[in-house]
Amino acid sequence: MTHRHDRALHVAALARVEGEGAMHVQVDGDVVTDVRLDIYEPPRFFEAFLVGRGHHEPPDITARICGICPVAYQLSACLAIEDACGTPVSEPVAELRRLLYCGEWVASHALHVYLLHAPDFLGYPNVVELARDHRAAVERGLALKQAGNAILELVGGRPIHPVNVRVGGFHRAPSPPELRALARDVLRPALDHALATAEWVAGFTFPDFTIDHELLALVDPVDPQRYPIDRGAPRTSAGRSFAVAEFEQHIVETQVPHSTALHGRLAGAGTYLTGPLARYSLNHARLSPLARQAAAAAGLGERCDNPFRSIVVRAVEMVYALDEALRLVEAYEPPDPPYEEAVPRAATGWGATEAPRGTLFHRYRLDADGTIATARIVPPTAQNQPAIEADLRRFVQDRLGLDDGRLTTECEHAIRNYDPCISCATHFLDLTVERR
Amino acid sequence: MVIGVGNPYRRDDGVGPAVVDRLRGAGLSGVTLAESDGEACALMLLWHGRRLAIVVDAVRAEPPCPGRVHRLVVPWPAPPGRSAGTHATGPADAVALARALARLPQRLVVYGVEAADTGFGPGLSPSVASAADRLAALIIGEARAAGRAGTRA
Repeated sequence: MTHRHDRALHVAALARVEGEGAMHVQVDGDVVTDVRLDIYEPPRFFEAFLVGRGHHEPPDITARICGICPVAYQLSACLAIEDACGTPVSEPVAELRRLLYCGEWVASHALHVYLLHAPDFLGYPNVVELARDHRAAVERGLALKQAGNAILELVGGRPIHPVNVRVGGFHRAPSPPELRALARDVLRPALDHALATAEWVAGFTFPDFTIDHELLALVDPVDPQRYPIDRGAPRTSAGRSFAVAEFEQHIVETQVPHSTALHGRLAGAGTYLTGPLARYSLNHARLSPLARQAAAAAGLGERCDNPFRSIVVRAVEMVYALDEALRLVEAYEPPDPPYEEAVPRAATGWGATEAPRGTLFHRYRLDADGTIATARIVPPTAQNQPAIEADLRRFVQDRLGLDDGRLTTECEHAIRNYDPCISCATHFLDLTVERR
Repeated sequence: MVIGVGNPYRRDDGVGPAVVDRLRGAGLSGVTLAESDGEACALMLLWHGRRLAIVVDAVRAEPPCPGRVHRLVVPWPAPPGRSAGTHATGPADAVALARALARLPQRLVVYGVEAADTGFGPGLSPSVASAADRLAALIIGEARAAGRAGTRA
């Protein structure tokens, strides 16, 4: 037989993603009838752990949700608790948080671009094989990751699960000489590496594939020059705009049988996408001139709707994050005191920041003594799951002529476009394709 | 350089850091002590440029014998060809990538201590704690011998 009418693909453990999941594709005749991103990593119950804990604890507890983006959890938690307490932080604290977050973006994006995603574009099974032929490129990726980690270590106390973050600010503010040395020895060379990265990935070959989901990202309502990282209000590509406190009125999460992660949908619109494509498309004008220049040189327009080009957007965001980190160091004034005491009250608070993978929402209801009564966390990958499945359905439909091995490889590549963080969402891939 | 890999809050998984703890008071001069969660890039950065790196990690074996110590000297058999997710990368991936990038130390020794209990909480089970004591003494001897031979560990 040279053709098959019924077909099922199953990838039982997705490689080069954050966490553990699988993919199942069902093909009946010439039609893809089902695509499921099976997230089987066990549910992690963080929201339940938080109930009954004190209002100072969420930054340290929620950091443990993810080893790649702990700062995102810490800072969304801080914003929400501070909102509940009615204690906005000082501008120097906000700027130091943004610097810390830049470190996480650089470390996370460098990991994804070089160690997880680039092998797909260059035809290698993994970064070890890539490194044999492209040693200088992989060295550059490691230097970038190290630069991100250096920011995290100096500002956050350590690179994974930082310990210097607290509600209201920081336990200790780094000194200006410490930050100046970091900028001189680490960040300036890393910016050159980031620019070289944007040039490198721009030369990859990208499949012709576009999406038309509504895109959702934070947009800074106050500062028109501020690319969203540490704060902002949700906005979509269709013009929907709302306050962080109204997030749950617009984002509806539902359970599906095949995933331990909830599926998020935009009320009245359905699937939507958050993450680098959304952030870039909604905030292109807010990039620094250097990052905009890097984007243009890499062939990006003012928006990007090809998920395969997300690797280019990540590279541009690394340029931005390092450029921004240098600006923040230059303007640094140590917050004194390094934190504001957040006095609890019976209230609900909401917080959202831009994790490397997209908008991360937290909500806490506090009792008068600060005890957490309820907690809600909506991570980016949970929001993106329906869009990923919808995109895969179209992607597979156009490639049914491929044999199972090739199709599986291409599906995994496509999934990595979204840099899914399954551990965050359970709160990935074995692929099965069933052809019938 | 001695690197203890593991999580001290998961019982015997913390045997690597526990061995490093035992080495802290041993008066080893010229030996850097470090703890790591085992993430591949971090391990490479720690051991790059060293003449001798000793890594201590918890392992499982079949049939099990908690507290048994395995000694591996790089190079060992080739690692799996398929790259796993970030949650499954560890010392073997670090060695493979370091080899491709010429970032291996001149000599890399890995001690794997068979774990009995990797549940929640601090503290080692008795057989693993006893193995940590023996291993610390062994590493002190190995590091001093390397020092006498003029090796920067």
